[in-house]
Amino acid sequence: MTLAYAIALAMDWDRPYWAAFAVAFVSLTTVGQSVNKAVLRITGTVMAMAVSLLIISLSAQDRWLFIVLLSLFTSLCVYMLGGQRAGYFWQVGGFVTAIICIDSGPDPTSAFDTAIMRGLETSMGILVYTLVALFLWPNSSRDAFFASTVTLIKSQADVFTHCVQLALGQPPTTTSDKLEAAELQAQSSFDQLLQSAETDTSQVMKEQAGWRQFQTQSTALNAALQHWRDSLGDIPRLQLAQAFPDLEKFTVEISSRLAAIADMQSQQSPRSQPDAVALPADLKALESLSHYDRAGLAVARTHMRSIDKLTRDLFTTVARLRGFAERTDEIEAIRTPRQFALPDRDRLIAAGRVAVMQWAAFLAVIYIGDFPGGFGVVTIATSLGMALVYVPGFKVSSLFAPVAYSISFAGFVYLLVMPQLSSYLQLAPLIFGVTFAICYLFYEPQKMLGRAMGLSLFVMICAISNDQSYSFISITTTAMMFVALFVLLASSIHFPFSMRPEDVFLRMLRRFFHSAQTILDTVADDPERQPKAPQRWLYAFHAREVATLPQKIAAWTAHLNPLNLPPDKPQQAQMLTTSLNLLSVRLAQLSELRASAPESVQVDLRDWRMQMSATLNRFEKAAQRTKPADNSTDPATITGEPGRQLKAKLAGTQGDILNSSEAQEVYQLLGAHRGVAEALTAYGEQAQQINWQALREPRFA
Amino acid sequence: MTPIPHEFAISGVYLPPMLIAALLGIAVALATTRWLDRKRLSRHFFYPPLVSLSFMIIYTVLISTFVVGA
Repeated sequence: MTLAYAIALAMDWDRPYWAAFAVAFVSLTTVGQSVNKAVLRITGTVMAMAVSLLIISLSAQDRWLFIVLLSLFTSLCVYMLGGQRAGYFWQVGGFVTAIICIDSGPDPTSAFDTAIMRGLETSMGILVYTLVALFLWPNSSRDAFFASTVTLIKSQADVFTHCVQLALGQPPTTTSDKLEAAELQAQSSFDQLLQSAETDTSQVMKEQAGWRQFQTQSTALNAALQHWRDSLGDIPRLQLAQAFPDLEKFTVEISSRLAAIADMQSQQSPRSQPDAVALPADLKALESLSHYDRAGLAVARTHMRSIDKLTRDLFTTVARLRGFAERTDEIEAIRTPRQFALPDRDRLIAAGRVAVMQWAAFLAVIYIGDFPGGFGVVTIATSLGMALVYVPGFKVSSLFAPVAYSISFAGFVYLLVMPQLSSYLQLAPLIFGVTFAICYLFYEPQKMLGRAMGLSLFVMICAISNDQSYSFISITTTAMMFVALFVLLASSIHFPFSMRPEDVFLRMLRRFFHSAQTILDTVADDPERQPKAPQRWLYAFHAREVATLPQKIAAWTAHLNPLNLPPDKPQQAQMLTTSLNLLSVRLAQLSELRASAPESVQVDLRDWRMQMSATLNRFEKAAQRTKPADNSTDPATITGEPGRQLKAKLAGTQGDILNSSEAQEVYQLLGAHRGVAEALTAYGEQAQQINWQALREPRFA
Repeated sequence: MTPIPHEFAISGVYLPPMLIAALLGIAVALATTRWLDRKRLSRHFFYPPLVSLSFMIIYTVLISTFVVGA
C-alpha cells in the first residue's frame, strides 16, 4: 500500500487510492492465491474499461438509456459471478464498469482518461503487490498443498473405517456428520490449494493434468463412500457380511490401499501394492432373502466395486505423480462434458436484486436533492450488492459495527493525525502502520468483512492526494451515505423477492419437490423413444435443480429463526436437509439407471414410481402457505416389489444371482427404486418433527 | 396545539427536525413489528414488509406533527 501510494503520488496521478484499493483487495495468504486473484482483477478491469467506454459512447446524451445499459451489464456480471469459474473476474468487471461509467457519466469527455487511469493504477498496484509478495515475503503454497493431500486421504480412510464399522455391525467410534464435515473441509481446502499451487509450485505446474486427475478421482471416491454409507442404512445388520463372505478381505485391502496412498503423498514408499478383490455372493444366504433385500445388497455391492476401482486408480495416479511408478503415457487433461445452457433461478434472482438496488440508488440521486454521496452511492450500492448478494441469510445489521468503527477510526486519522504531517516520509509510516494493523487484527477469514470495511473506508475517507484537503463534512457525508445504503440493502431483502431465510427455505423446498416429481414423471419408460431437444433440456434443468438445491437449502437452514423450530431439537432442520441430500443422490442414481434400462423392466415398476411421485407432490404442498402441512409417507411408497414379468425374469437366473446380467439389471433398478422410497420415508419422518405452521407464517423479521 | 418546528443542535451540528422524526419513527416501527412477531400477531398480515413500511411512515408523520414539530 505504501509503495503503491508513493508511486501514484510521485506520478501525480488522479485518485491514487485506486492503486491502494487494488493492493488491499488482492492480498491473500499465499503468492499463488494472490497472483490468481490479481490476474482476474486485471482482466476484469480491462473488460470493464472496454464495456464502460461502449456504454458511455452509446448513451452519452440519454441518462435512461445509460442506466438501462449499465444495469443490464451489471446483471450479467452478477449472474456470471454466481457460476463456478472466474467469479472474481465478473465481480471486478461489474463494479469497475459502474465506477468508470458513474464517474464519467456527468462529463463524458473525460471517460477515456478515467478508464485508462483506472486500468493503469490497478495494474500498478497489482505489480507492486506481486513484486513484494515474490521478493520480500515469499509465501508459497507448496508445503500446505502436499500436507492437504495427506489430510484428504486420511479423512477418506476415516470415512471408510466408519462405513466398515456400520457394515460389520460394530459400534461406530464417531458420528457420520463429523466425518463428512471433515472430509468436505479437506476436499475444499485441497481444491483451493491446488489452484494456488498450479501458479506458485513448479512441481505441481508441470504435472497439472495429473493433479487434476487426482482431484477428480478423489471427489468421485468421496461420493462413492457417501453412497456406500447411505446404502448401508437400508440393509439389516450383518446381512451384508453374510451375503458377501469376502467383505472383511475387501475392507482390509481398501484400508491398506488408502494407507499406501497416504505414504506416497508423504514421500515414503508404499507399504503394499493393490490386490484384486472379487466380492462373490453367498448363494445360500441370498436365496433366503426377498427380492427387495437382494436389490439393496446389489446396490451396496455396486458401490463397493466402485470404491475398489477408484482406490486402485488413485493409487496408480499418486504412484506416477510422486515418482513411485514409471509413467507409461502422458496423462490427458480431463475435459468437462459439454452441458446444456441451463438458467439458474437463484443467480437470476441475485442479478435482479442488484439491478433493483442500482436503479433505486440512481433514482434517489436524481430525484432527491443533495442526496449524500451523490452518484457515488450508485457505485457503492453496486459494489456492496455484488459482494453480499450471494451470502445466505445476510443481515444488514452485521454491517453496522464494522462501518461505524471504520468511519470513526478513519475520521480520527484523517482529521487529527494527517494534518500534522508535512511530507510523504511522515505519511508513509502512517499508511504502513494502519494497513498492517487492520490486516493483522482482521486476519481470520471470518473477520474478512471487518478487514474489507476497515481498509476501504480508510482509503476512501482519507482520500490521500497531492492536493490534500480536510473537511469534516466529507466524514458526515460518508456516514449519511452508508445510512442510505443500509436502507437500500434492507429493502433488497424484501423486494423484489423475499430473502427471509424462512421464505427462501420453503421456496427452495417447493422447487426441489417439484423438480423431483418432474424427473420421476417425465422420463419416457422406453429408452428407444428418444426425447426431443426441449424435453431433454427441461429434464436436464430439473436434474440440476435436484442435484444442487440440497446444498443451497442447507446453507439457508442455519439462518432459520430458532423460534420456528422445535425447542427441544434445534438441529431438526439440519437433519431434514441431510435427508433431502440423500433423496437427491438416490434420485440421480435412479434416473441414471432408468435412462438405460429396457422398457420391459421399467413397466413393472411404474405403479411404485407413481406412488412415490404422489408422496413428492404431498411434500411439495406441505411447503406451500395455503395448503395443509401433510408430510406423511404412504405405506405403499416403501412396499414396492417387482411385478410378474420381473419375477419371471429373476426366477430364470442361476449361479450368482446378483451377477447374471439380466438379474443385475433388474436388481439395480429395483435397488434404485428402493433407495428413493427409503429416502422419502426418512424425509417424511424428519419433516413431521418440524412445526410447519410456524415456519410458514408471515413475519416481519 | 402542535409544537413549533425547531432544529436540533448536537455540539454545534444542526440536525433537521424531519430527520429526528424519521429516526424516531423507524425506531418505534421496529419495536412495534418486533412485538407483533413475538406475540405471533404478524401472521394476520398478508405482506409484512409493506406493513412495516406503513408503520414507519405513520409513526414519522405522527411524531413530526405532535412531538417534534417538523
